[in-house]
Amino acid sequence: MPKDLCPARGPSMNTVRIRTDGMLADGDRVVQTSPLGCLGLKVDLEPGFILRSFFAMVTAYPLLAEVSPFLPALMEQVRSCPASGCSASGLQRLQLGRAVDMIGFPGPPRLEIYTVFQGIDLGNTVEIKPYGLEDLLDIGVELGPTRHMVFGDKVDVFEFASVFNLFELIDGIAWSLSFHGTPRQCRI
Amino acid sequence: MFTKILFATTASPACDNAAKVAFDLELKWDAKLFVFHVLGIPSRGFSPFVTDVRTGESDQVDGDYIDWVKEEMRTTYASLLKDSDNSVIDAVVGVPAREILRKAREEDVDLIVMGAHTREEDVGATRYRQVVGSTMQKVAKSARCPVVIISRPCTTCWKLFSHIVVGLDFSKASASAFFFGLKLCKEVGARLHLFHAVDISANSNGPVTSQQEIEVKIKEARHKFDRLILPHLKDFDNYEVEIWEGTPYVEILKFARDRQADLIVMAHHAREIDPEKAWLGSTVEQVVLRASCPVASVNHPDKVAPQ
Repeated sequence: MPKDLCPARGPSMNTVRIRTDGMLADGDRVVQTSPLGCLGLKVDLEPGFILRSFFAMVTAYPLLAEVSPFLPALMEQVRSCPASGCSASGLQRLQLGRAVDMIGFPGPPRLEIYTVFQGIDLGNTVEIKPYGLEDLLDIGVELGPTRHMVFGDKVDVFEFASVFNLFELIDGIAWSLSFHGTPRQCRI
Repeated sequence: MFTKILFATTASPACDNAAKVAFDLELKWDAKLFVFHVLGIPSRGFSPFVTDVRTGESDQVDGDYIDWVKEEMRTTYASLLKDSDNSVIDAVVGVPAREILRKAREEDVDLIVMGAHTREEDVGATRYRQVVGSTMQKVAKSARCPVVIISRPCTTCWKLFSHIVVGLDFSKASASAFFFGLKLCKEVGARLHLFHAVDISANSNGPVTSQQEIEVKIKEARHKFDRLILPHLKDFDNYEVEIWEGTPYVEILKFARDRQADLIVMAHHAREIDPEKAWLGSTVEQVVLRASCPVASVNHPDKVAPQ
């Protein structure tokens, strides 16, 4: 039986909602066929969306695993993780944000725009590279702001509410998680 | 095996991870460690001014300036120098890659240790930037000894070598990588993990590879291993060989994680070209970017060829 969509908001145009069970919902219809057409749509996460929901989505739509060469290996790791209880203390939630970095030197001035997937704890950002998937899967995921840094100044950073499309979500999370994989044997 | 090690550093936080590995190696091998920094570039030959390559500002080099830089380096690495028995701090003016290679040649070092790039940055920021900086590129290309690249906190303990992964593509450079890995394993009693990935990545040219073709390629790789590698192992039996298909850098990282590698050794480049003209391969760069252990790039056989 399909789960009810959250009734608090009606569906928006050009928006795809990712449900906590990983299914994509375009309006009030669940996407049953190819998800490619949803990649460019603005993404909305159902309340209660956790990192495990992200992998449930990639499982439900195997084509999406081709967005990153690391996703198949990450999926394997997820399958070997416990079915619940995968959350580290010290992390309240995970946030996908965007950084706009204005760089003046060295080289010609340029603007770099990239996604940032990080942990949030008591309002502070936490780098999640040291955490394995078994510590992250059951932590809530939210979409965060765009942070604009001017010439390397990380103190006075401008923040703006932002939107992400489905491709950015998948690509951004997969890129960040591809850096994980600290061997458990020895942690200095 | 390592009697002299050169740690080339910017003495900035970006090299902290590399510093820990370098000092660890000094203790492990009872080696002489050169902690080497290159400052600025001369605005002309014998000019008294140096240009800070990071800020672009000019500064005057005098007798005290170099001493001040060395003192700063001592302060930066104070906690590591406390346990160090045989390290030398040095700073020179010049073009970084050129001076590092000159120092390596002068001292005839067995290993160079470097950080991957000079900037600390978000994981996301590395997507569109060169992983391996220009200095590293030039040093890795021309160094006669292996170059160990550290881009992340080293979560393995080099004092306790257990597992060394060698990525093989059966090129001449990868033969040098194999000999280095084998020599190191024999010296420390580590397990040697030889790995080859049959490249079926989406970026390969040509039609999609069928399962049958993959199996043929895996078999061919196995024959190459038996012919080119096995004879050199002789009576060394603490090794394993794995050959499977995939995108090479993805599979090497997966394999290294699975085997809890303390070090990944790779050929500097895959193509059969003059080592003097080869730039660091994209597979090595991708592995350096994500590996949670140091990565050794081997380009020249000088220091690693079997006796």
